[in-house]
Amino acid sequence: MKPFTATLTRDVLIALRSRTEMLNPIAFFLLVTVMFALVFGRDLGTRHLVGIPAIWTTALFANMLALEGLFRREHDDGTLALMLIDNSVTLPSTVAKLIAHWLLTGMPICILAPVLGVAFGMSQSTLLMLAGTLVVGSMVFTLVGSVCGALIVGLQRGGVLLTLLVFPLYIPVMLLGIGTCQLHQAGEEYTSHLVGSLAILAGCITAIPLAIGPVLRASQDQ
Amino acid sequence: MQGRELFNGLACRVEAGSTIEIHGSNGSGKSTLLRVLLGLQRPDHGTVTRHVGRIGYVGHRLGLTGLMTLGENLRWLGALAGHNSAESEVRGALERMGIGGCFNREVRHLSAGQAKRGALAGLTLSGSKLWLLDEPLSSLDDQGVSLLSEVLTSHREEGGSAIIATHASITDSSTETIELQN
Amino acid sequence: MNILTATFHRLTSPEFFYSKTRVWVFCLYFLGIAGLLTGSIWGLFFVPPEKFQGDSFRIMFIHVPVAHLAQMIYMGIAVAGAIYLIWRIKMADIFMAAAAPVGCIMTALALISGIVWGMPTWGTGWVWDARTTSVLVLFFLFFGLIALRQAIGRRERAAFAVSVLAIIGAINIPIIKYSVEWFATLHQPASITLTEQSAIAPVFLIPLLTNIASMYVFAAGVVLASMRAHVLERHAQTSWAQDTVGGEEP
Repeated sequence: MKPFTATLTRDVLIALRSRTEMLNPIAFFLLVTVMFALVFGRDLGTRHLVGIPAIWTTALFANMLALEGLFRREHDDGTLALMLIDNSVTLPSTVAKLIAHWLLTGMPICILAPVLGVAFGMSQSTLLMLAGTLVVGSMVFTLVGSVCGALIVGLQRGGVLLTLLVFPLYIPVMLLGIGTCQLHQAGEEYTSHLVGSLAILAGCITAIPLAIGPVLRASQDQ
Repeated sequence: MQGRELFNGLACRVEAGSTIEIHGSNGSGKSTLLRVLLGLQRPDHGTVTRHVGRIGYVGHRLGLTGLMTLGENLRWLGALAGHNSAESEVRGALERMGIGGCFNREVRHLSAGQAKRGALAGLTLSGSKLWLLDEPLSSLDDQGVSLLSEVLTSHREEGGSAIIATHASITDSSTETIELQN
Repeated sequence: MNILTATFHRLTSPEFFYSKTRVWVFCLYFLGIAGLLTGSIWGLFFVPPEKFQGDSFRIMFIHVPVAHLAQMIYMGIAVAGAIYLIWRIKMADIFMAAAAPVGCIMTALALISGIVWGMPTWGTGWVWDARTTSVLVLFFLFFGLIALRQAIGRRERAAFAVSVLAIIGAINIPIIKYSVEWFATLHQPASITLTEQSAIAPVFLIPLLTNIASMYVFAAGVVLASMRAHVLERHAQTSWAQDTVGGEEP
């Protein structure tokens, strides 16, 4: 097995064995969205307005919640150091970790979101658009968040700091994603918003996998 | 460790088939020196030049994941080093460290000594020419210590070398020693 | 600020830096405070009221300089971050450490004065347009820079982390501006924007420019004084630092 596939299967295996930890953000997403639907769902006008932003912001916070655990265990047990010693291993293994993280936290949310969107009375095509933009958005969340997570690896009280660091960086892709869905819902032209979020994703995919190794290595210096 | 000078004017070469021991009391900078050599920490001045490909490392944090069995951990370590270790190979390495029975046990259920032996067994699987060991004797019992020196001897005989930070000597022949003053 | 970055290379010796910049701090403080007083008194008492806003527009003489400076300080920090990552110049890190709190205060002042200005003038303290949002984000970024440095014990690691965050933030700010503009076009009519500033008459322009320039000078003084303190603290073990402290405060 190559470092990439080995790390990917390893992370999935660990996540399956620590189910509660993995399910936490997803349960959070589910419960908060249901709560929003319960509170705003009765009035047809309100739920039409609130649905998309509510699901998007909850997805954002669920992602922040999951982010803290991205490198923590690996740092604590020393496997992170082993991934960083050898330059040729760093890139494939960190990318595998990011993909595993997205598969385990981002993807379930993207699948759940359209199901929950029904509670807000969204039309079928809007539900699809919501899931699609969330795929782009949650990938950006994972990528951008991973850099911030790497900056604070091994710090005490890192969680609150992490939220502060990622908050401003999450705003653009969230606004563009919500914008795309709302324009689609209103039957207007949404291409520019969609292209904008795809451009952000493309930028992140290009730059962040290369940056993450050096940032993690610098974080070992303590 | 802020602003304290740990070492200065330190120059050493590691030849194939030899061992260097770094001695020094607690806090003298043994671990820091190893981490600098590994590239995990930047020296304030000076350079580290690596002429070996892969480095095996066992530090204070062993590099074993608690939620995976020892066998799974070692196979992942092997994959990081670029080869596909067969189950028999992993079992053999564990046998050599005297913990063949731990193959299917999750690392979080192992004792500190068993985990240490497991991490050292991982080294032999990695196929690295150069080993960096940080206090390898800690939490090992007498049998563990003698197994470790056997493993080290055969590693040297195969042309491998090791840098060992320790407060008690492990190897006796063909060993260079660096003393770090406090 | 340009003079500062240019002299970084010459002043990398901490002792040299510390002894040479003492006079500068005094000069910058003096010029900055004098200029701010002149510009503010001029703006508050000698400029005629504005046609539509009456007297409330006078907060502009504070608001515009601090808002402008907040952005410039952030850009300065991002450039210093890049310099640190490329050349590992310690003075760039000291600049980042000294400038972040100043920028944070400037941003807070810009937000507060903007709210105070908006309430009587537009009937609302806050409009989510590109400019206000980016200043708010700037505040979080400054706060993040300070908190990150506080949280990391080791100086080299803190310097690296802060540099990375500063650069990511600098990339983020224009993206935020675009995304908010696109987002805003779909929600509100463009009638309420703080973005569109009508052409300023020369009567207002001269005291405003005086204040902007003086704010630069004053902030440069504050940052430089703070940098001196950082330099002294980081070299507290050296003999020159102990001599300096002993000499100044017997």
